[in-house]
Amino acid sequence: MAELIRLDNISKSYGDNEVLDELTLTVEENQFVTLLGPSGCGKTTTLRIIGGFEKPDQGRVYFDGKDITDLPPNMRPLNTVFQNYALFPHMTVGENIAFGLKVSGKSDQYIKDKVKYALKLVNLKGFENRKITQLSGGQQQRIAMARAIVNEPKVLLLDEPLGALDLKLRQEMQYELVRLKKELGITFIYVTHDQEEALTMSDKVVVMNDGYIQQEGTPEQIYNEPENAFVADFIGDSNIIPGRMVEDRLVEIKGVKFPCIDGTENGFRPGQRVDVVIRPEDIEIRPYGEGLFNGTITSKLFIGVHYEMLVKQEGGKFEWLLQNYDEHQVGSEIGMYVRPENIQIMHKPQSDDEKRMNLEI
Amino acid sequence: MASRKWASPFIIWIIAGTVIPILSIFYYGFTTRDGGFTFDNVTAVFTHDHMQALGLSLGLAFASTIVCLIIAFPMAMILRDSKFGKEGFMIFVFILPMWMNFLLRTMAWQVLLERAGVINSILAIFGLPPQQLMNTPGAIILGMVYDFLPFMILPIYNTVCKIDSNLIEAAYDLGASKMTVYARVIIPLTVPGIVSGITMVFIPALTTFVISNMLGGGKINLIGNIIEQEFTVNSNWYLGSGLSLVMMIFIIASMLILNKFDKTGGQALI
Repeated sequence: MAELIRLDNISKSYGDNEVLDELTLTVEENQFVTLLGPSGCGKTTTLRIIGGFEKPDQGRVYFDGKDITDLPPNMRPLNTVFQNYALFPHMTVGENIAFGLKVSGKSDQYIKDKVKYALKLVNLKGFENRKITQLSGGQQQRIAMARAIVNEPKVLLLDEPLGALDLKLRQEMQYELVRLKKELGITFIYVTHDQEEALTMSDKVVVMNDGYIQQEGTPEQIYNEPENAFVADFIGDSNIIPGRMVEDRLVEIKGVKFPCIDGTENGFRPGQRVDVVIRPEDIEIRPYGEGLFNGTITSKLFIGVHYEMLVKQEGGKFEWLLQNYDEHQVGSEIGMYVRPENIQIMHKPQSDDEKRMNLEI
Repeated sequence: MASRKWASPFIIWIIAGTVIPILSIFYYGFTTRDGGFTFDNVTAVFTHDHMQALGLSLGLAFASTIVCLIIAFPMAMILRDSKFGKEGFMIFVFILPMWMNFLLRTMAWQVLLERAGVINSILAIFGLPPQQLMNTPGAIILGMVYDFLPFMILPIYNTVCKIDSNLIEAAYDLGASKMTVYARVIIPLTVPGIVSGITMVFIPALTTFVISNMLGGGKINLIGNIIEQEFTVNSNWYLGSGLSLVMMIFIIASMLILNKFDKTGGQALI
């Protein structure tokens, strides 16, 4: 796939507050890229720089090989779906969708057909003459999508578009967005703080914190192989524990030695201090004494598909987070086992910059 | 209902302050000195002097409203875009003259515009001949704009402040130029403020007699001056009331026209 957008060494501050620090990011053609991070991590600023609403203090923005850093938003071949939809309240649904086409001087017949097509695409056929105030939140969301895609942009920027919708509608719209992206065959750049949204829809997830990119990769890579404690903590529930390499492919955590698949070949020397991530669903429950270590269940919560349990390690104070499909009683003593491939070992932050990346933990 | 009990002072106020005066104006307007019914007081507006004064009033009020609008809209946009809390101070500066007495403010312009006044003195320094500034329609428009400008700025500023910045960004995002963004998004969304601003400037400007008295030197008669003279100098309440009723028709008509432009915000005005 060809490179479509490149952010090169972008920095941006508001007063003393540095929002982006030498950020470099590439977006390929026809990708669904999600910028994911907590509020204040710089994800929306990044999107606004791509859209042309903010000027970077330093660095360039390239689109299709051309430098567009100084191009105003109305000259950029991309469209935005705003967080609060930003539909024009003094216009009908049809007029809202037609706005971009009218501005670019398309013929009346072309506009009429395109508006009809766009409404069909977002499943709101025949809504042309409705007023914006008559629409529900979900419908407004769809109209905002229609208004953007009707201009056939090469890239669609979406700023937390599902943030204001309730859970069920949000899940529905996630499917809709993926379907729309397939039908249109364009690039989506999506901003969210919701890790579930990021994992379900994206081809590529960019996890951001504190103006830095923490990790880029496919949803699977981000979830299964977090590069640092911040990513591991932000994506899903995790047990993040400091540990020490004992020897090649053996790590000691909380006094227990776990066989793992990392070692000297990817830079972990024996004796080195590391961070270890173990996902709660990766801890298997065995009969007492038959796992790698034992513990007592201290609490149990049923959360729909599975049970979530806290297990206090035998002879220690540490409580492990577990998820299991089977019910186990509070107070029962169990053995626990983790497969070597499910133990994710991460380097401890070394430099000041790296420390800053991990500050949130 | 408790609210009804509390409403009684306001009902008394409305009856004493609005209903009775209007009824008495209607009474005097359609009565002769002998107490008989007549249309003469109202039709008196068609005499040459009255028509001329009415025409001039409409013209000057219209001109000063337009000038106020031309100044107020960009001003409101500048106030909207200014950052760091400066806008509070700017608004304060604009409101400040309103704390001074209206007559005093108009009198200040007399001092500035007089034949031997401040402006002509400055002109004299540069060797320019003195200008006739006082007692001209221009002086009256100037006075009206100066006195009524805050009433135009405040409602417009209020509405432009409420426009969501995302709407403006969305318009740019969809490819609109600055001109188009103003013409198709910002101005249409400001209509309620523009309508109430126009109403609040045009109506007092149409009926004023103080500004034309002070800056027109009695040489320029507006319809407001004529009505005032009928009540005070000529003690002819009948003719004064009749002409007031005609003015009322003009005011109601102008509000109806304005309401056509703004179906939501303007309803409260009439």
